[in-house]
Amino acid sequence: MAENILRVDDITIKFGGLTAVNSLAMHINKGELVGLIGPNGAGKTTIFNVITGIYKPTSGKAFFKGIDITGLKPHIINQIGIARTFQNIRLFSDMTVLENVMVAQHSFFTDQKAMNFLHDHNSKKYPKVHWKPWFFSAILKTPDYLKVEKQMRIYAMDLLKILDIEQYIDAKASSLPYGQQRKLEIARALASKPSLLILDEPAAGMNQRESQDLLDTIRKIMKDFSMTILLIEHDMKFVMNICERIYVLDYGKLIAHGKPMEIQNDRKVIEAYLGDEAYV
Amino acid sequence: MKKLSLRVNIILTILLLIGAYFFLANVNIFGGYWSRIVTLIAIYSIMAVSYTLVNGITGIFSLGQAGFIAIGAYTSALLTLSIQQKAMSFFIQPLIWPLNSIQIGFLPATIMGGLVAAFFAFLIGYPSLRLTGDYFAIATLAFAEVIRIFIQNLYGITNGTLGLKGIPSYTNVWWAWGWLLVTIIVIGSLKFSSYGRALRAISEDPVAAKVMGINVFNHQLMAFVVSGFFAGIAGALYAHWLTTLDPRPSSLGVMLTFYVLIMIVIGGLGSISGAVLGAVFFALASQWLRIFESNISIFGLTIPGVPGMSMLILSTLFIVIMIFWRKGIMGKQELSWQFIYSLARRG
Repeated sequence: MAENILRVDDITIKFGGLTAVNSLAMHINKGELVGLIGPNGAGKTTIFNVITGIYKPTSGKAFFKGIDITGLKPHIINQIGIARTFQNIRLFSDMTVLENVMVAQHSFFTDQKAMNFLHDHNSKKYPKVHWKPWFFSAILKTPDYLKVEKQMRIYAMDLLKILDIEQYIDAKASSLPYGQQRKLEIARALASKPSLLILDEPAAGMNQRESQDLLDTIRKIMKDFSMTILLIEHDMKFVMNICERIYVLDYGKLIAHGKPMEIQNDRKVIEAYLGDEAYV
Repeated sequence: MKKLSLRVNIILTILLLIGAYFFLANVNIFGGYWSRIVTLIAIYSIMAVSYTLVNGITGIFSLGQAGFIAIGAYTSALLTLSIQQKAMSFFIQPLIWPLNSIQIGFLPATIMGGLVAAFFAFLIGYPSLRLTGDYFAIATLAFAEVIRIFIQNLYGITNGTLGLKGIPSYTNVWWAWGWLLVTIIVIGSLKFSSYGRALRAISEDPVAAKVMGINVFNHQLMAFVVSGFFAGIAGALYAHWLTTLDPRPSSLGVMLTFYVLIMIVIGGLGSISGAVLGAVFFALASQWLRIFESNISIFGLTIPGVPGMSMLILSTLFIVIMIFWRKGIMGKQELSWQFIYSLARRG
């Protein structure tokens, strides 16, 4: 089952004179856990921002489930099925834990555009969605609105249980311990029911125990949701432990690609991380 | 902490509504002056609640509120003025057809005022919501001023600088407080729905909201239009409370925006009950402080009244409040029975 879920073709991103990513090509198969590593400033987060629609690439294309997603708006890309977390945690800190997760499900009410985009792409698989005045239903609190709201709440509770943070439900997101905030961000990303989860340095700033805990969580998500995951990480032990395949970036260029064992012994990778042999 | 049951909440709310009913029904015993102030409080509250939907809950800094209020005021006034009165007032240039030959009731005129203001909110919001932060604030500020200047110069529609006179004084305590109730229910219901969550998420982190599947632009525009609608309603009530309208900056111009801004900042940005409290504070303070504009004698010492003194003291009060309550009286919280209960327990 080597179906491409994400394919990036020759993507180049330039900020003025600086080439952040230079004709990068990569792909992720369904159900895989792929790591993207590289020294600081190698362009890893930039790639994530292109895939999720925050940046537009200078050239090249990205395909998700065979759909060209280059240049689509971030909210449409999310509704098509890509969710992400951020390197520096970006929770809605004044809202409660439960509200944070429920926000990610809000697109249910406004997903006509994304669904119809999918419908245009493949009319058999994706039915056409008809516009409903959900906005007025929400104000008038009609029964069908309340039903959806209740379903959202139940699903959000389930996610919080799976990630083992259900005891914080009514706490403000900003009051959570650091490790739990990371988990909450993953829960929020999962709430939008993605088929590809992108994690930007999930273990950054974690101690040994927290990162072991996170490792278990990620494995659990892979199994329970049959999720495909792409992650950036600096913690080599973490990456080598969990990833099936690894891409290594340096100065925006792909320098190596392969299984963790191959990467560990790759000369170019060692050079990129530790410097030239002459300096060692 | 003990949680109040739903039944206790409902009973207390019904008691409050009954109490409010008796207060409003008997407000006349305090004299006509006070019944006018009580009405004004409700009008200010509608302005503040609709404004806090944009500036507080959605977190976009608009300075165009007075523009929508003015549109609502002029639209409704032109619809309720009697045909003879219109013919009499518009002596420089006659009023254009069909406005010169229609007169409708107060309720439909108020709703029309709201709808026209909402339509303008859409027209303004659509291009200018592509701007963010201070740039958006300046764009909306300019828009409100453009509206005022149009009103000042379109003699065939607004009677220009001569203004509108003899507007029937329909706005009474019931209309004003009734519309305030509608405003609070609609905007409160919106705030505590999935859409409200999305709006609060946008105010905290637009990028994260976008990536979580929220169409930020559409939601901001929606909040802006809803806010415009209720600002128009408030304008219509205001017009029929003042009974005269003119396009001076100090009446329906930028000063009004800043007054409403003061109300919602004092009350707490993003809090509906805070907006109402702010409006009450502002309306009462600006009335009470008038005493400083006439001569006062304390212990045989006479302090001469200075015109504008009340504004000076109000500003000082405003600064003091901002020092002690950084986030306004309510912060982002809402006044609920639970809130009062826990406050009473703690105190």
